[in-house]
Amino acid sequence: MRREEIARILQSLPGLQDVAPRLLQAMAGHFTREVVHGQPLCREGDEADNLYVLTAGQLDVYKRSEQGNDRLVAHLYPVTLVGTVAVVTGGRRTATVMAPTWAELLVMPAAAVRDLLETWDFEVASPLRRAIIVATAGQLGQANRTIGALAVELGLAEVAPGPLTHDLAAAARPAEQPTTPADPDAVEQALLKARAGL
Amino acid sequence: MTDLSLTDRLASSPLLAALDAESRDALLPHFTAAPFTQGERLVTAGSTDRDLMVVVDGNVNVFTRDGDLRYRLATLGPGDMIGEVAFFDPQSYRTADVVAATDGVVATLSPDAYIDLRRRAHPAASSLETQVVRLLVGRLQSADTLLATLLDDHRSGRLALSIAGLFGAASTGSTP
Repeated sequence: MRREEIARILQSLPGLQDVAPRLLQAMAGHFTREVVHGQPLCREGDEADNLYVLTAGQLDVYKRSEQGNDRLVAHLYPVTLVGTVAVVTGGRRTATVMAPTWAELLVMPAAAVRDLLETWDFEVASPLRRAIIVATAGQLGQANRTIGALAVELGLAEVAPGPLTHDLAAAARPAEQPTTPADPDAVEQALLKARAGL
Repeated sequence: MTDLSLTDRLASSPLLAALDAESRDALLPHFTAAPFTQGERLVTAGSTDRDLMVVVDGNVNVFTRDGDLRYRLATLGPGDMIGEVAFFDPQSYRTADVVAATDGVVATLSPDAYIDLRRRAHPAASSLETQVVRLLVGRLQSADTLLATLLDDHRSGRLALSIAGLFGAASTGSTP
């Protein structure tokens, strides 16, 4: 993939839209392109080696429950940052990320990310931090919405007062609502797909 | 802010306490404190306001929406941060309703003050960004672990009990 194309992809990330083209080009030089197919990108507990940008395909995020089971907690769709938590904190991976079929990624070594955040021109470091904030908050929002959807399913929700100024929920509803599925997998998939659109 | 105790409480919040003194001193004067009363709506889902808020006193409920329904996801208290996504991303909307559970005080920071610091490459801007990243990654780890555990409970039929135990039933009192 050409550097200009990578720079264009980076510019589409929330937080990076106002970065000068020359700086995006410089950042793009640190990324390589990878395609993964039906394999884990990283496993919970591993050392964080890379930061990723998902540019095509889908990734599934699994988290270990308190009972020790790996549960699917999120779907990720392009274009989004992936693997920010461990890269930023310097700790180990906090979730397992799998490509269920195939996915195309831009890959930047974690050391280069930390170097960029700590020593690069403020013009680049600040937008990258903002991009990480937006991506992390988006995944947090997705987790919270799924938890809320579980509560709605249980009849614990109340009627929301007033219409939404922007119908955030409409984009999240699946085209066909599942009919009281008994299979937990189907319920989880429906819930996660419904929330991943936001 | 002229009330010393409110300033001290804001300065000791997780958002500001971890900053270096120069950054904290640069940011504190830009916060505006305002009281809220029980039942008052501080944030409306879908709105475009962008202030960053820190609860200084009292408690607020955070509701996520699902169509015409909403569910109380969390109760926030003194020191907790609200509204960080819209603050840093002008393209986004508020994604939750925040309603006061008690009387209290909230301190707000306008994005204009942060943008001015950023334009001047003031270290307070990067310190604020870094601390927000740290707080968010911590919350994401907790939320994902909780979700995984709830999904375990869903399979074993214990979900209703778990959610009721964690959050209680949604509020049925009058809300604005």
